[in-house]
Amino acid sequence: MKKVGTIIAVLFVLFLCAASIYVGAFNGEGAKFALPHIQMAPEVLFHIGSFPVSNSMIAVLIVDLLLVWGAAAGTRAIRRGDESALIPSGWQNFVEWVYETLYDAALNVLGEEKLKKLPGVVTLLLTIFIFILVANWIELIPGFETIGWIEPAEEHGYTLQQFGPVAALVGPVVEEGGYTLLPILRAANTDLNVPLMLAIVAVVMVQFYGVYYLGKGYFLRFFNYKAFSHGATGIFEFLASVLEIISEFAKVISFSFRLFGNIFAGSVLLAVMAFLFPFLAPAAFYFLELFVGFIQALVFMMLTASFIAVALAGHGSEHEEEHNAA
Amino acid sequence: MTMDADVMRLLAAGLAMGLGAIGPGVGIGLVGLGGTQAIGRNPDAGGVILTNMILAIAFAEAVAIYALVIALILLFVV
Repeated sequence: MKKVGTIIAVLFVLFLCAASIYVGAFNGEGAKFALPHIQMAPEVLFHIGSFPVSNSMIAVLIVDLLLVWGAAAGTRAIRRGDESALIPSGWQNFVEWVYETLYDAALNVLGEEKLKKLPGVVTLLLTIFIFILVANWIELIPGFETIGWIEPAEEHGYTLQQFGPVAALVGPVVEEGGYTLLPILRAANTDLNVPLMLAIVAVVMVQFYGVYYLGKGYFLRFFNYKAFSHGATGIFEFLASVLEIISEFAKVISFSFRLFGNIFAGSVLLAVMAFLFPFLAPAAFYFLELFVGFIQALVFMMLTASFIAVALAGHGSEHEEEHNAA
Repeated sequence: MTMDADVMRLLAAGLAMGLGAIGPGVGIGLVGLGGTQAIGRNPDAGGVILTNMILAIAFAEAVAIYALVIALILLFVV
């Protein structure tokens, strides 16, 4: 049986190579895939009253529903108080594994007593990671940014080919009278609003945890008036602390643009690769997107945890904190 | 070749991404150098070193992503 499977796999790969050579050789004569209209802003699908609903909003809703459903299913036995919840199996086992792995990662950065003391810090970090991860990986499901409504295009568009009730965009580019695609779903993080929302939430929560842990003394980080107690040369430390405020805003921008840039560029890359060389080559870029999606989620979570650790350390004792947390 | 706005736009996009990738490329290489050397000296601390290395790589890569966003704005948002 193994030999038959190997032979079938080899034949399939050879078929894909032959098909891609055919597509490449008869460029424009045979099947030519359509390059989707790439734009940075998400396309608006419809309006509720005067509120525009874009395709990325629907993707965010889908991710939310998946997360809530996954969490509810994973904790069903616990919430019911079953005895079987003590030895987890199936989906509950998986959810607990994810939770433990991420809890350990946060533990390395923050330290156990802080994790227990601050309300909701584990929830925040885990939600950030799981939301970004699921939102990034859902983009890779075939059909995610490719199924939608077909609209007439103003500039160069593609010709239509009907298959009963559905149609596909194929064929050469036509200058007028062509059609373009309005996708129903678009990866959540390709809309700048979603990474910006996550960045604002993360930075605001960092300030909240700083105030929660240190009280009023947290604001010493930004207005270090105590530096003047050493004399007038404390003006430099005071100015350095005022710079910290600017650094917080820079963190919002850097968080959001890092995530947005990676995921948007990744989706553009996938679309262009599928357009240029439709068979086999996009597989390598799919793996890259899988990897990048995971790394961006991990980086967002670890950076938020690091900024919380820095905020909790307060002013002046940052260097001791890093040794204690290890 | 007439240098009208469209040509300049395309040129600017290419230059933005190209020049903007030099610094982060060198930076990520240096972080990798430090990280792998540290793991080589102290394999037991591999996990901690790897975590910090990935964090530093993400910081350095973010700068390249800023350049990419500028290039994409130039290309797709006119």
